[in-house]
Amino acid sequence: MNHHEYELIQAAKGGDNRAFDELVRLYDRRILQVAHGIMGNMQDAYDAYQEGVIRAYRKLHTFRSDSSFGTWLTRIVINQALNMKKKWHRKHGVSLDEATESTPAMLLDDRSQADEVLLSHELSSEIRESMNRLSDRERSVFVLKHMHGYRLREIALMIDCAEGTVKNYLFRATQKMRESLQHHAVADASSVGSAASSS
Amino acid sequence: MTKKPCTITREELTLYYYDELGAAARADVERRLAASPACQEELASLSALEAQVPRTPSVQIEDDVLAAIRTSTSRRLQEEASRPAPRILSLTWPSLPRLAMGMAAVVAIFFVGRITAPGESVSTLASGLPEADTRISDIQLDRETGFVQISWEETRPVSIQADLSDQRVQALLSRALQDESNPGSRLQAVRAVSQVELFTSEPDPALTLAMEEVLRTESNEGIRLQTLKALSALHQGTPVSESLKGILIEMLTSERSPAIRIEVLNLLTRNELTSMELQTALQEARQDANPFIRSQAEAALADMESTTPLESIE
Repeated sequence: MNHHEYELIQAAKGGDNRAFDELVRLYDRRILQVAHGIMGNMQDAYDAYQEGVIRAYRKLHTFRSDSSFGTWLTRIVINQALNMKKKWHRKHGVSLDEATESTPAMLLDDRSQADEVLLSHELSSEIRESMNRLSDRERSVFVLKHMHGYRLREIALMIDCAEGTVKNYLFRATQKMRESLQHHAVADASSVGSAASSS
Repeated sequence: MTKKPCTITREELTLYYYDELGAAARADVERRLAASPACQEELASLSALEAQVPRTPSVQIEDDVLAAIRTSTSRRLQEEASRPAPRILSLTWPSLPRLAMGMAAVVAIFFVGRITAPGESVSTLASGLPEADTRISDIQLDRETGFVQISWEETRPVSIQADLSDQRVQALLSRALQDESNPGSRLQAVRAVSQVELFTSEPDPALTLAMEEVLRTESNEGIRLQTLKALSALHQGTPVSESLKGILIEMLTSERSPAIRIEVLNLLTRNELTSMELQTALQEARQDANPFIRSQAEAALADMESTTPLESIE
């Protein structure tokens, strides 16, 4: 943690809301991207992110500086995201990813513009489908490691489990992704083959 | 001659690939890799994953988008900061009468609702609801307390704050839902209504009718989806009305977004499945491009056929 961040944390703990805002802005882009990887669409990523930030604001007095503020905030947002998915799954009996398969998240409030821009950068349907086959924890670890390059010990802090468990999640996630994407590739190849033979 | 199998475990290779081995373990894996074509093949297949799923974030967030998100988050933080912090009361005899008066005031506010203008003290609802053509400018729901604050502009900004079950709040929410020209408030109203657990009494049927109107007139997919979710929450354990059923059947075959069609299907299939229109729509949905919708439609049709002989469906 650098000196500037330390000062911001102290100021924020002392009630300086601007300092808290500034602290969040040091990490927001990356945390939003992580949330997007977990939730699969920007609308839910944004909801998880914003609720997480508010929760962090309320719990700032419990932050002990034994990890960086970014790791702490990421952990809160990931928790929020996983809870949202769990609630949704319980309520609808279908995963959030299946229901938001095409990301119809064009909401006309502050984020309308955000979503419109973001929709053009969504993952391909094959990747999304493969990621949907991962458990929430496996997907979180895969997103944090494969897409963001966090160290396993940081990920362990972020998802609140032992480093050995993170290794297992990562191993299982990569295996499943490989198998699933391979399956897609074979299916694509056979559909191209049958199209060619029928023409 | 058969190739010797790879002696490096997949776990070790995965950790090697992600650069998570210590120096000694890494050197050991590299030595075994160099000597084993099978291990090299295994590593190559792991590396192929990178070609399909790039090792970059799943989404790029442009600066202007981030700026919009920051503005919105800062506003929420300000609202959070302006809330009174919870205080621990230490009760002493002289403070009890004041506490009793305070509680009486809270109870009064709970039952009466309140209208406030910035900078003014809380007043009662003597002035009633705003004029019918008044535009609702903001709706904020506090999920913890169940209180909703609805603001509008008269000669100056005015707002009402009361429980979600309050009739005036529900009337204002209906009004916001019907305002086609103001999608922002429409969405806020939908979100508030979807918090069914915060209603302490049965929601006004006018809210459902207003949401039907949203489904009919709203061009924004996101708002239509949220409206369906709100309707779904409101109809937990209760059948949908005939008018709503008609709208849903129409949406099942005409909606472009699979997420919306899934939500529609969920709502429709909660009911007793006994209409010819629904059967026709489900048969059409069986050909849907989305595999989940196809399977759900198939299951609903099978359910329909098993519970009701088809010739008796009208």
